[in-house]
Amino acid sequence: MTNYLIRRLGESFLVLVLSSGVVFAMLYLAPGGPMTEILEFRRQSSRFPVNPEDIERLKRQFDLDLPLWQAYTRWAFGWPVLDDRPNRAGVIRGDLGLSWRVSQNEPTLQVLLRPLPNTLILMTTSTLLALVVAVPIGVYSAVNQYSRVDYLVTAGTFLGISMPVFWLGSMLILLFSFQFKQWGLPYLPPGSAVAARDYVLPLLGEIEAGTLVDRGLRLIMPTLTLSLLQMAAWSRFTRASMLEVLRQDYVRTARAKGLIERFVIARHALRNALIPLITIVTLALPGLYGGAIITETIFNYQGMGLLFIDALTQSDWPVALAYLMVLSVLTVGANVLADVVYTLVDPRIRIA
Amino acid sequence: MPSRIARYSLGLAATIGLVASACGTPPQPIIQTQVVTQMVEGTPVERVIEVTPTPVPAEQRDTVIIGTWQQPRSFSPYANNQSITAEIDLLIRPRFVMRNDFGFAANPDLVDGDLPSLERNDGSAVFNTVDVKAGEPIFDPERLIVVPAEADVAGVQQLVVTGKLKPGLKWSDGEPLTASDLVFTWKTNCTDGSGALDLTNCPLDSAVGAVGQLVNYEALDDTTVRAIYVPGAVDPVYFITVFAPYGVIPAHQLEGLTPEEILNDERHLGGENVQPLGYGPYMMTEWLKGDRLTVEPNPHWGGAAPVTQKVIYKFFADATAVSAAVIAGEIDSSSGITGINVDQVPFMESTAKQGVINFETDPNAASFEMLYLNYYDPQDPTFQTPHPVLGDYAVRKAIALALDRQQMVDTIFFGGSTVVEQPQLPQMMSYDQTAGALAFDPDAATTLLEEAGWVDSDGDGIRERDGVKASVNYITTSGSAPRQRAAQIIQASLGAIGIEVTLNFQPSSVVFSTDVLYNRNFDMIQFANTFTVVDPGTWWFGIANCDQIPLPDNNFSGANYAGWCEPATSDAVARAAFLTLDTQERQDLYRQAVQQYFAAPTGDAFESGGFPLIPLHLRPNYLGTVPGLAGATLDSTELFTWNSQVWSLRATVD
Amino acid sequence: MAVAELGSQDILARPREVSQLELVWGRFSKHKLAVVGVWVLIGLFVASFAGPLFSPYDPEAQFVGPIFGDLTAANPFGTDDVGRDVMTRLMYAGRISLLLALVVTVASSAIGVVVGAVSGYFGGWVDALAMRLVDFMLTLPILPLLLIMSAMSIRGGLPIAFPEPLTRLFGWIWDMTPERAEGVLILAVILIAFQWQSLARLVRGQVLALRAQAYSEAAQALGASSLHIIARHMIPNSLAPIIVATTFNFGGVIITEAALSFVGFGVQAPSASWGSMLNGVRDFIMLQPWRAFVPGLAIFLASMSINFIGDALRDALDPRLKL
Repeated sequence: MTNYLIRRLGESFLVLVLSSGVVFAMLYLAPGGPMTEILEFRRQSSRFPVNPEDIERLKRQFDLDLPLWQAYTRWAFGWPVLDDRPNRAGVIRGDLGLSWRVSQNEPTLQVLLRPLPNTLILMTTSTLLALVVAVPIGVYSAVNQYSRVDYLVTAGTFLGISMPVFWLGSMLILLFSFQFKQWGLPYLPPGSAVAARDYVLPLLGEIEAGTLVDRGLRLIMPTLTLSLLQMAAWSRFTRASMLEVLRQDYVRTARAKGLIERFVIARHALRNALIPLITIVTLALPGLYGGAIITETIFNYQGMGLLFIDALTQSDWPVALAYLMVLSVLTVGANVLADVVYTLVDPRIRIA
Repeated sequence: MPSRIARYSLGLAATIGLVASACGTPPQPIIQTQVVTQMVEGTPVERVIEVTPTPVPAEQRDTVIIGTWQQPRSFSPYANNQSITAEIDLLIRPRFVMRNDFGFAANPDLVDGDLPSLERNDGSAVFNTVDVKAGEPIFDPERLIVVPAEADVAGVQQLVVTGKLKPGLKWSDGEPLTASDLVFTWKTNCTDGSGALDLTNCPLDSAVGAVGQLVNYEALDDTTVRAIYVPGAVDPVYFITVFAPYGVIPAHQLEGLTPEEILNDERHLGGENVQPLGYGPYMMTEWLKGDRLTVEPNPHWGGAAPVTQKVIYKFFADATAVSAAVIAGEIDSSSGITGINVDQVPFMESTAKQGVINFETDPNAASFEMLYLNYYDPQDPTFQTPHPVLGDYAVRKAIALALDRQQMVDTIFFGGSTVVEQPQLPQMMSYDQTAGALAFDPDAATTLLEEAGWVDSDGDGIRERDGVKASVNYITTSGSAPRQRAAQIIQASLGAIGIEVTLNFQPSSVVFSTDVLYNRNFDMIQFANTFTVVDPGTWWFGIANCDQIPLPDNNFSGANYAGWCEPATSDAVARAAFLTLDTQERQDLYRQAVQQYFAAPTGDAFESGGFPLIPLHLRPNYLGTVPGLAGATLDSTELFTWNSQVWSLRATVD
Repeated sequence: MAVAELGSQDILARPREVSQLELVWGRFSKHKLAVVGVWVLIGLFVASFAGPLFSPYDPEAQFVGPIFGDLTAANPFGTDDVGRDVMTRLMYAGRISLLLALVVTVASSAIGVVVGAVSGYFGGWVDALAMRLVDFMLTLPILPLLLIMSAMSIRGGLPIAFPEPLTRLFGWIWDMTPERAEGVLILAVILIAFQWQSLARLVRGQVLALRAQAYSEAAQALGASSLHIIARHMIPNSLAPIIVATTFNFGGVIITEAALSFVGFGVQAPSASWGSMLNGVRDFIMLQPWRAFVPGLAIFLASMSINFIGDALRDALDPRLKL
């Protein structure tokens, strides 16, 4: 096991180096970047042609004049050190650089940490909610396969899977924010993680900005949107896995022994059926950090997904890169973890 | 001092309280007449006016929230040109020269008296006659740049402009704001490493790329600034230039720092506890990046105290989220420049009809969409080969005739905009009422193409000439519904006259990059130009001057993306922009340019033919507010926060 | 004797063929929603591919009705932002959405199955390499990649070139120029590149489990080649989860394409997919929610049907289930 882990982690490190290189190259080659603003200005004031020396200086400041591999090694490892420009320690030593545009000149790490709590709250609540609902539903519909409830649940979950997120989100806003407001019900604020000032809701009265109630109200719609999707997928998964287990010989044996059905399900079937679910949930962990771009956009929820899309559209490569690097580490890490957890909970699996 | 704004708001506010509200029913506009006292030229005059009060107010709210999807990056006045920064600046660092309604006026709170003027002959702006010695900077009328004089030149006109600040101006930390702050900013801007975008008014050799228009900018005393132009140069907006040509940063805070340090200082970029310092009716008290920015009244402001005690700028993910927030009452206002998008207009208008919000459209915003046509083949990296299709004047003119731009306005803006007939704003002094308009006439377009030899010989619906298919690409930004619609209408209209158009939507970071626009890698490209100063000078110079064609030689500088070059026009627009301030002469020169814009090429010089760009339509501006917000209104040439100190918000009763 | 002969042939041949198919169909048809799903899906395909033949409108003909026109007899699903007939566009969009989903799903499943089977069967460094490749792909972001592809298409240096007959064929099906078809195909390739990993992991897991079983060792002992064992034993025995995952992916591709339209990278106008049509009415659904239901319902029906079919197939193909 130890050997396996060491080898696995070594391989994962190589994967990360490779993937950081490819992602870096992508952004390096992508159009935009720190030159955009000065070029855009040139478009608007033709009297002022941009001097090549200005462009050179800007390029030097952002390492854009270097060959790709050198720019990468400087970003990743802080090597080679050059005299004519600011040098950094490199990502490997925890220096993610300074933001270009999203929060100009602020350390990227700090920029990433700001929306992280919001995303963690949102993703954790929606993941937990999804699990709490999905597992019982999946189990129930597996045990009662082809029953009316099963059909209903199946239809419901497929409804969840088949709905584009932005459509679902917009519909929720239309219903809970606009219609509820018109009907004089306590409506939900259509967006933001926290209010900018106190507000009054019908029946609920004055809500103070920044309190738990305020944050909670604003969490409802994005959580619902996200968890509905996960709920659908996971209940499908639980159902399938449960069906599989229920057909196994040991379950039949248990039944044949005359054990109570409920006991069979809880004690023998469920435990084994949840093993694959554990790996699925483990693989979903990086999402707790990564956030959800579309949901966060629709509900203007200040989280990581919104930050990433912002960094991408504003060509703030250091922030986008840092976000992606952390996500890569978590993704690869979650993969290792999933495999390890799998072997721990399922004695039949041995890893060489 | 003549009062420009009628001051009846006080009387209005007092009477609003008398109108009873109908509880539970949707608020209806109640129209009533009111006798108010108005000051006209210092004499009180009683006048009967009609007022439409907003639904009845419960209490005065102390916080107004403005929604936007843009986020300011930096409050450096010279190293940033975002519209959101400009909008917030109007609260914390108002302009010295106001730009309302296509005109210019001194900001009475910051400027002493009127704007400097050559016409008034009071010495505020004068042409001195000077002798220039060899080696001293002089404006070269041939090359239109400032150069060291080769020999002594006698009797050159030199523009000198003097501006007077209002005495007693203060920064929001209580320190005096003086002329030396303005000069400090100018000097910092004109030093290498300042990150400045504009170096037009920097003396030669002050920084790499300095254009050299001013030889000096100086403080004569605490309240007097003087701009001395380089001999031979003129500036149509000298009265703006003289006041803080590059904004004002506080010398008492930043003196002693290098330009790089100032550029990267937290007092511009916003830190944990540090905010940019201003001198306006409000001062910034909080800037939570990615979330919100708060301003509160500046105790050291000399003008009328703001009504609202707190204004919050709330940042949103996109325009859809902004409009949802207005409708839900989360925010109190948002404008079309930094917030609401045209696609939300139908819904905003329908909710406005129900009285949920107020919604205003300004069809005359100083911005218009245009379609550039490349004269040269983008496949040729040296830009010597005429464009196989668009290099032909007949094709360009046919395209102009084939576009039903009124239909575009009706479709894209639901009628709420105006077709632009000439490649300039109708309010510009260069606009020629007598020149022709671009009529929609597809039959004439067809005839034109046939006569020019473009015929569909193989029956595929696309014309050819000499084996060249009339097929062009069209590029615009992705994610913009109005442009997507425009693109598809253009494609269909040109398809109808046998010109095939391939649409290509790219993220704006691609469109405005060296991949596309700046290196002229397009056949047709659509984007908009927004005019912050409505003067035709640099605009016409950009589109019509031969030296403004971006080429590898000039590092792809210049705004003549089409490659239009008609020597006489080129000279005319240069003269009008940089060599004369005489209004009549400038208008004559522009008349000539407008005529050439429509004209066929002379002789074999294909690049002299007109239609380098086809103006499409104005871009309207929008304003959505909650009904309780009074005072917010749109202005065609100024951002809507210009009068935020009079805004007042009252909680409406449901 | 004759009877015995006849009997033995009967026993060997007939029940194998008949019962297998009958069994599968029998189990499949027990899942009533799946049967409905088959018909709905057939209906969607027929409507998309044959429907336009009966439409009086060209999908790109503008102003055949008012802008954002209501439901009328002439335009049963109304008209869109430039006055095009929504029903006709919906059918053409169906060609793109359905075919895109089909191509992406089949191709990504094929890659996933091969990678997964080879990796699981051979183990060792092959397995490590393949699985780290999966890890690697999982760390790549799709949005920056699409951004770069867009820029490259302008510079004229796309790394992928499709043979002209292929772009012509798809252009003909989708009623667009070969250049535009190429754009959609590039989107397909990118979607494939980001879609095969989960299936590869799944198949690998299955193969690992199967390899440990007795018959696999027996086949090896009998001298069967690795290729033979993988193709004849490993893959067929993993078919149930493969089919379920594949049908799941089919719906997923349609939804993913819709999500990419949301951020501006989907099928480009004037062509439309169901996803881009849905995104196109995003700002109008607050005003007229029914506009979203037109493309939304198509996406929903397609995704739902294929999921039901997959669900039923899984039950039907499961060898342990003998009902």
